[in-house]
Amino acid sequence: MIQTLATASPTVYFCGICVGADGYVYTLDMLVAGYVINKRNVSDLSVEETLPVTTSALVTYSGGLAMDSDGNFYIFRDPRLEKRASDGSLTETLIVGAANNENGGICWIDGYVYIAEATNSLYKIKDDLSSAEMVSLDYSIAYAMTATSTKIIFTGWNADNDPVNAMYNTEFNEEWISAIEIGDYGYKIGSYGFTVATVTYDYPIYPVIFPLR
Amino acid sequence: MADVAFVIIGYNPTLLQTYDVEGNFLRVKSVSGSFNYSNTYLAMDVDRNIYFCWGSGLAK
Repeated sequence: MIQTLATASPTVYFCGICVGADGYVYTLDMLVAGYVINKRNVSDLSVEETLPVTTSALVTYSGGLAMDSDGNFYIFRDPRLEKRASDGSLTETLIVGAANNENGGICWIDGYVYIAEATNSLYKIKDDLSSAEMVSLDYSIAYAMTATSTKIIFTGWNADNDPVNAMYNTEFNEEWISAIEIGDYGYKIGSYGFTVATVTYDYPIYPVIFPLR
Repeated sequence: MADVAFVIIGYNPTLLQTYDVEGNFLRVKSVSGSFNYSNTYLAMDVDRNIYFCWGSGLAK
């Protein structure tokens, strides 16, 4: 069930969305006056805080928005990758990628940013933006990409050009590949990017036994 | 039913499809809007609510 549907002003154009480790939804919004990152309440998607993003690098379409576990933002728009602090201020930039690769997606996993080129290639970039490695996969699986905990999930095509989803580890080894259930192909993909906390107990738990009467 | 691990938006027809962590299909939901490969973005929270935006639209 779609619980909330918020159609913003036509003067707003969304250029990315992600969920932070703090539980808020963040959107990259293009306004007439420029770009902002809006921090949104998950219950009704209302804006709780607006972070100005001063840049000339972005246009209507972007490669999306990602966050790390410390609340830093990563914005990609071919060929410019920006790292921004949690207040929206620019901290690093890196020119990476080739033309027309803005559609594949961006995600962060454990110290690295990953950018997909909507083909078979992607970039693995240290999250201080100090270095980038380009990786070519065997087929066009990296049409779109997301992260779940410590894994990359792609949607794209297999070696026979059939539409598939696939999970890879961060060393680019395939863990599984499976057919897409319905339709010609998937063109965007999303997941929760952070490790889900588990509850542990520091003390033993003793059973309580009630006597039968 | 297994937990949702990820969601895709598909082409022809335009559907949201959820899958578990092994890639097994779970559910499908029809959506309407001016979606395309360049203007649509998807995300998910820890409770597996799905968020997506496209053009000037934003939905949970």
